[in-house]
Amino acid sequence: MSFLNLVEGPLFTFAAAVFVLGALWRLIGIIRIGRAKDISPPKASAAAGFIKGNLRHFFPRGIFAKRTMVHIIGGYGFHLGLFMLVFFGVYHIDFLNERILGFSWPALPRWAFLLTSAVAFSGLITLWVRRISDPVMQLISDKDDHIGSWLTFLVMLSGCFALEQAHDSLRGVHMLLVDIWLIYFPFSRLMHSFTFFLSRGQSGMTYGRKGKVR
Amino acid sequence: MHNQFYSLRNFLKLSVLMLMLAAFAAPVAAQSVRPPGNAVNLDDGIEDGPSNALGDVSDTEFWDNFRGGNPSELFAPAPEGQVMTTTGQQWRMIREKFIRKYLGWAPVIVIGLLAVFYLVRGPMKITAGRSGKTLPRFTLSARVAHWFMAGVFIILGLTGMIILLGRVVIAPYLGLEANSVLTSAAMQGHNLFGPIFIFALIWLFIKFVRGNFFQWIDLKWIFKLGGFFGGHVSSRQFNFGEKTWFWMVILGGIVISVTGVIMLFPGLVEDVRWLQLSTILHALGAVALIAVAFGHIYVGTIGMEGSIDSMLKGEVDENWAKEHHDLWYEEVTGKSAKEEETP
Amino acid sequence: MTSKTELAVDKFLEQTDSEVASFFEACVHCGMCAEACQFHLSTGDPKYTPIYKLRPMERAYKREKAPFSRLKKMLGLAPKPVTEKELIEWAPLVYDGCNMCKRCTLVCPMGIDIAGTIRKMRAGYAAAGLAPEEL
Ligand code: HEM
Ligand code: SF4
Ligand code: SF4
Repeated sequence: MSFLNLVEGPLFTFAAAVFVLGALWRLIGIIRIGRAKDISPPKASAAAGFIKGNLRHFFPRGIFAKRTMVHIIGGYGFHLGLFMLVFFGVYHIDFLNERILGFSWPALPRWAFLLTSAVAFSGLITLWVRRISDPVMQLISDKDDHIGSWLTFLVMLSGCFALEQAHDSLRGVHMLLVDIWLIYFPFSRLMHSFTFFLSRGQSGMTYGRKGKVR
Repeated sequence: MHNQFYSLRNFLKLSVLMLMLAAFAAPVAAQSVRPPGNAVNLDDGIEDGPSNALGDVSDTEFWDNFRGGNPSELFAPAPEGQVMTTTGQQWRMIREKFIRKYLGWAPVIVIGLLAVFYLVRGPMKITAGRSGKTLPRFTLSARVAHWFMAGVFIILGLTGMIILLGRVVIAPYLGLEANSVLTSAAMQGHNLFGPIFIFALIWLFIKFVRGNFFQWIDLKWIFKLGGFFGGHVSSRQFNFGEKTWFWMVILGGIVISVTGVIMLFPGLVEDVRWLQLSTILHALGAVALIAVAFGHIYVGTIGMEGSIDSMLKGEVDENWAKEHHDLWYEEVTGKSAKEEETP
Repeated sequence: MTSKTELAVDKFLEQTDSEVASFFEACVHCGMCAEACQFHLSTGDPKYTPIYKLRPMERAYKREKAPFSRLKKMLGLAPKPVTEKELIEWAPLVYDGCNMCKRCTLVCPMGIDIAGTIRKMRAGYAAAGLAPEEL
């Protein structure tokens, strides 16, 4: 079996299984703890608060937006960019179509794909250099933060390196990094891509019940 | 855009091939060459050229015409019989005999000099020791702009070096196949990060241009060789060395950006000589910046105690400020940099 | 005999319901909360970063209660246990370093309720008798 077949075949299947099962296990583990009882009479709906909390925090607040502008732009650029690359890059759609889903959808044209990559890379680099150049960030960051950023960066970079599609080995390296990323994901802070809705939602519930979602 | 790029590459490859063929054929042609009837056709030119070149009629005119392609009409169809331009020859000479051969040594030499300097003079300490008190120097957004540029610069430097020197540095040791893989990867990376560099350059310029204009006081700095060989030098927020580095990055960066865009979108120019000039200027500018960047990194890290704080914390020690940017210290604090030298 | 630390940690864990757990799970260490907290803004001291004030409680949760915590402990990857020294060190942050203004929640991309969690953390301090005497 060639290297490429390994990392796109059995190893990918294994990594994807770890990703799905691990992430589910962790999400269920968090939810299973259960919310503490709130004995005060509710002023408004907690469920609506869950949704409000989730929506509210997509938008920066005016008074703070200016101070955190670099972070907001970098963050949105990176996350939206990566989302577009993963789900609307033609290679990714083909891969998902052939390996997993069995259907496909329209892809970004090449120029848009490259432009999106540039935005996503810029965002990720901005977020990480901010992490290393600020005392607050240095204090609260741990190994996981750096490993997560770098693994994601390397996955993206190796993907970019393989763009000519002339060498199986480059595609193989990209896929190997994807596999490692998938396996690392559920055990790390990368999980924030799923846990964010629990966190926003539950604080929304608490405050929603009191009648004011923050 | 994509197609044009590839056709340019093919075009250059073909030029080289043709050049070699022509070189072989020329001496023979002087005696007994008849132009092949279908030599105007690019595809057939390769196969039929040399074999038919052994024909009977001498025709230097044909070969002159053959090589008479107009470099200024890169994408226009060539007139009958004109197949290639010859400016590529000079370009190739510069690239192979000068750039690829010597340019790569520039950063190596700089590193060597820095190592010698470090061994002989050692790092520049804060002579009064750290005071423990700090002054704000760069805002977070300025620091982010700096590291953003540094990151993009490093990625482009590494990939660019592979593209430029892979053939002479990597291929002989790891083999042609490995070099081909690395170059393909580096090429894609370089093309993608190139445009990001332009963005980084603008950002860096906006955040750092204040305080970086040259002033009279910089002359003193020059006469005292920046204090690297002893003596005290005065300076405001940025000293002459820093200002020079800033403007090198900005101006060199503009050259690299413009030539890079031309190479990325060759359709922007009509004349192939612009492209050839671009590759040369691009390499010269980039290697010069890389070489000096090592000096910058040296002073920013192990070369000078306390410098890196300004980029990692945004604050510098007061004694660092007094010793390296005394006038700035006085401007910011309103105190004299001479008094209270107690650590 | 149960030490003060154990009492505090037990209370921390008891107070960590799925809401607080999801806060600890979701925080991306982005540091934006620091930009909202008056304690940080007026002193410039990174230790007043809101999420940092919760660190001992977060560590207790990640070591003892979080999904995969047993696996991570087995592999030696779990965070270090909370110590009494640390709790004492954190007391000023927990008691005098937050006025429950909730500005940090407004700015946090994860909507993390730092103030509410600090209140729960104080319960742990109280249970262990580590709360400042004047209260
Ligand atoms: C990666 C290693 C690097 C380190 C450790 C480093 C370190 C530093 C430090 C400490 C300063 C502040 C000096 C001061 O306080 O006055 C600085 C300033 C600066 N750096 Fe870097 N740097 C690095 C790479 C780069 C690169 C690759 C570039 C550009 C291509 C760059 C461009 C600048 C510029 C323009 C300034 C502004 C100060 C001036 O006007 O000279 N740096 N760097
Ligand atoms: S703003 Fe929220 S997510 Fe960011 S570090 Fe603070 S608590 Fe964590
Ligand atoms: S609630 Fe507390 S931690 Fe948050 S901003 Fe206000 S004082 Fe700071």
